[in-house]
Amino acid sequence: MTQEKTYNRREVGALAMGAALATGGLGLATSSAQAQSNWPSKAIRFVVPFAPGGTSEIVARSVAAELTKQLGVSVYVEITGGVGNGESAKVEIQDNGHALIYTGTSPHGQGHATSWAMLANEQTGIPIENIELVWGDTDLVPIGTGTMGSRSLQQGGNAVFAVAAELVNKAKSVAARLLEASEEDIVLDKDSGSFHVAGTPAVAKTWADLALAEKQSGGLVHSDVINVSGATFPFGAHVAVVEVDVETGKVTHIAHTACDDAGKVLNPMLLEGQIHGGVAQGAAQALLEEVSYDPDGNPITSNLADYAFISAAELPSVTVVHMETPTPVNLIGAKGIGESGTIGATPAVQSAVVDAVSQFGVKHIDMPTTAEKVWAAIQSAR
Amino acid sequence: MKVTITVNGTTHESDVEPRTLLVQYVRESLGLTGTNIGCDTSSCGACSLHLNGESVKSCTVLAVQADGGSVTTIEGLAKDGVMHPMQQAFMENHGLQCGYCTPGMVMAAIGLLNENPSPTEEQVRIGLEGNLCRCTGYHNIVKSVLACANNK
Repeated sequence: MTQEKTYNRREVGALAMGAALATGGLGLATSSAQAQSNWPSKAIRFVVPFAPGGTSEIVARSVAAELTKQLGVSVYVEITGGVGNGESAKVEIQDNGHALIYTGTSPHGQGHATSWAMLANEQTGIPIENIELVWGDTDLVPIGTGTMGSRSLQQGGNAVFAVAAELVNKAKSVAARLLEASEEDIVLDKDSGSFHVAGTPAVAKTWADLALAEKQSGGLVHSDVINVSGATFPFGAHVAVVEVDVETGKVTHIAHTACDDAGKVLNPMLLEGQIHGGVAQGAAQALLEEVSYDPDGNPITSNLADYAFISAAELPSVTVVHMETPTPVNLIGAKGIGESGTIGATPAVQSAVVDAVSQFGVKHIDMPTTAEKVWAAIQSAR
Repeated sequence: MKVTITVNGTTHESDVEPRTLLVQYVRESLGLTGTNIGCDTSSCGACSLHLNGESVKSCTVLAVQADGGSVTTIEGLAKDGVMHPMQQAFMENHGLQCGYCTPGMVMAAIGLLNENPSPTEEQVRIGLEGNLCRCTGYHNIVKSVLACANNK
């Protein structure tokens, strides 16, 4: 690699190395970024001695396009969950044995209702469909830090996991009283969601039975603020493939692979959704999105007609590679994933574009790499 | 102005101001708030619904232009409590996160498949270019549309 840059984005240090290639018309430009050992080390020009529009030109264009695809790689370490030392959770059993979870996080598409129910189900055996999430209403959830900094699962989910475990202990003492047994002998059968004395599953108390028994003394409920010992450090690598038309400067993002290690994965589908969205926004920052101002400081991209918001047509599908290195910082082993895509994708795409045109002498292009800027950079470097 | 518009199978005779947008009509006159307003500039597609079988951005259609026509909104897709196959595909493929773009995205996607029942991934991406989403990176939206097309 001939390039090595350090990108700083908020608290994130991302080391990016990019290499990609450019093509345009029949002038085929290949990257020199892959070190001298990689042939070819300079631009190759295809000379097609036939009229434009014929088979020969079509073949030459197709071959050129395939030859020019190379990689841009970005390796990053991220800090997540650094906001707040903990989060609140309350788990309450209703008369019918269903559970209400009150969380201090504030989901807006991340899937907390599903994930928190999975965590509570793991502790209590109450079916996921019988668990409901309450959030955002400060009358009902007076303590909470919220959803930011990729903290929700590792702090909010962790709190639900811990509080649900405590509630099971509380329920065991109630079951012991009802079954006239010692608390240590009570076991929770998570398959049926009921409590019985070890060895005698026929006589059991369900969550509903226990909730009813506790109704006069405040209900079967537990709440707490669960602290974590610190932030976590997800890491990963993103690979972007771009093509640059050197005649027009137009950049096409043709492939993207993301490997993000966010620790223990609770729900792979939700995890991938977080990565997909992050990659799109990260790539958009490198490709076209920009908040602009005129010389007097007036915003000139203040609506979606003026602001170049990335669409499906400018993006490839994303290949996600899973890697799990659990953290000891919380009970779940989860690190953050909400922002990883935005952190890995931007330097990968940006570096890929710069490397694609580096053989013309271009060393830097300010983000975003719009056609106008890429074309101008090539022209001035040539 | 008097207009007669059939919305989700029910014919409504309404008196609207000429300037009333179709999206205002369905949201405010009929109370069908499933159709969202995103940008008001026809850029984001959140307000997409079907007018006479075609997907349109209802923030730049006047209600009077729909006079005598038939409108389908997101509320009109499910039949007898069973979701439309496109809604089902979005659910199964995690094709939504915050959900704001979803009603428009689903309507646009159905319009897309009406025109091209077996699109390639690229055709889906280009076909949905007018509908913006910040959460999903479009990956699972495209997957949902392709899944729906393949299930037909």
